[in-house]
Amino acid sequence: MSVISDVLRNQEATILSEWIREMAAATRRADLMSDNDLRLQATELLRQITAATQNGGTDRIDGPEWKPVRELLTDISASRAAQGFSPSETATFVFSLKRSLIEALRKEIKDPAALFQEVWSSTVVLDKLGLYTTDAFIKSRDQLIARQQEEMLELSTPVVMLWDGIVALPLIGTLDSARTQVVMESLLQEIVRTNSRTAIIDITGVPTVDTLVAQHLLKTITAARLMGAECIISGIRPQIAQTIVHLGINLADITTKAKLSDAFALALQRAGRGVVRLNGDKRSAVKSPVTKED
Amino acid sequence: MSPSLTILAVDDNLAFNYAICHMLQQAGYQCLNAQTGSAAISVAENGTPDLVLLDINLPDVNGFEVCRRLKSNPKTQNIPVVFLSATQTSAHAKEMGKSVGGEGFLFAPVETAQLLTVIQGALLRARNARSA
Repeated sequence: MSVISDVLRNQEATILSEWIREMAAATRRADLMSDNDLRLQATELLRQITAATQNGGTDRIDGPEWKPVRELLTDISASRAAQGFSPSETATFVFSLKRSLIEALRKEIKDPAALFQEVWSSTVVLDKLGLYTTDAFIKSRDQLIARQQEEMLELSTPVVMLWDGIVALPLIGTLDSARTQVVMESLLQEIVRTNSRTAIIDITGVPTVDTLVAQHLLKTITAARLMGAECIISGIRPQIAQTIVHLGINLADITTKAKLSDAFALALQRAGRGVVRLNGDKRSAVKSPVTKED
Repeated sequence: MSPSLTILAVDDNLAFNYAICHMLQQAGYQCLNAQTGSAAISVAENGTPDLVLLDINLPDVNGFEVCRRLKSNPKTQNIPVVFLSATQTSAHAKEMGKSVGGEGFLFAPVETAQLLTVIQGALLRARNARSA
C-alpha cells in the first residue's frame, strides 16, 4: 500500500475541505453547479482515488484498479460538457486537488527525499487524471456535436408533398457526400411512400454549385428517376446558372425552372391539372404560367 | 432478359445503390451491392455477378482501378463492367473507362430505359463472346 493511499485515507476530510476551498477561489462556477453537487462529485472522486491507490498504486491509471476513477471522470466530463463548462474548467477540477494533497503529504512525511518522491508521484497521477478528463470531455463534446449534426441534417432535408404525386425538396446550404446520402434517402422514401411521379428539387437556398455539388445533384436526380419519378430543378439563380455554364455541367436532360412556383405549375400540368382563379369571372382565369419546358 | 442474371451495383451512396437495385429488381434482375472498391472486388470474386455497374468516385479504390483489377483477375475478367458516373469530364472519363476494359459508360442523370438498354447490350456482347 502506498504512502499516498495512507495519507488520502487518514486526511480525507481535511483534503476534501481544502480542495473545495481551492476550487471556490480558482474556478468555481456557481452559475452552472450548486455547492452541494460540487461537494458530492469531489467526495466521490476522492473516495475512488483513495481506493485505486490502495489497490493499484500510482504508476499507471489505465489498469483495472483505476477503472472506477476513469468511469467517474468520464461521467463528470460528459455532464460538465452538457452543463456548459469549458475543457480547462473541467480539467482544473482535478488539478486543483494537487495543493491540498501535497499539503497533506507535507504534514505526514518528514523526510525531504521521501516527501519529494510522494509529491512527484501524486503530481504525475493527478496530471494523468486531468488529461484523461480533458480527453473524455472532448470525446463527449464530439459525440454531442455529431448527434446535433445528424439531427440538423435530418431537419435540413424536409421532403414535402405539394400535391397528389408531387413532392418537393427545398435544399438549404451546400451539398456534400454525407448530406447527399440523407437527402437522397429522404427523397426516395417520400417518392415511394407517396407514389409520386414528380419531384421538385429547389436549390434557391444552395449558396454555390461547384462540380461536386452538381455531381451530387445529378446522382439524386438519377436515383429519383430510377424510382420512377421525374425531377425538376427550380431556384437556379443567375449567378448559379453562370457557374454551371462555366463549369461545363450538362443539365440538358433535366427540366429546370427559375422559381419553385413555375416548377410546381409544370408538375401540375404534367399531371393534367392547372391553377384557376375561383371568382366566377372567366376573363380572370389564370392559365398555368408554364407554356413550355425550359 | 433472363431473370436469373445478377448485377453488382457499386456506389458509395447507400441510397443510390438502393435506387439502382430497386430498378434492376423491377426489371427482373437480381442485385448485389457494394459501397467500396475493395468490397466490389471481393463480391465480384465470390458472388460472380453477370455484370458490374460501377461508380468512379469510391472512397478507397477508384472505379477505374477496380475495373482494371477485375479485368486482370482470371475469376472476374469476363464479367462486363458498365460505368455509371456523375462526373462531368465526359470525354476523359469515357476514354479512361475504355482503356481499363469497361464495356459501357453512362453519365448521370440517366433514364431507366437507357440504363437497361446499355446493360442488356453489355450482357449480350458478353454472352456472344463466351459462346464464340
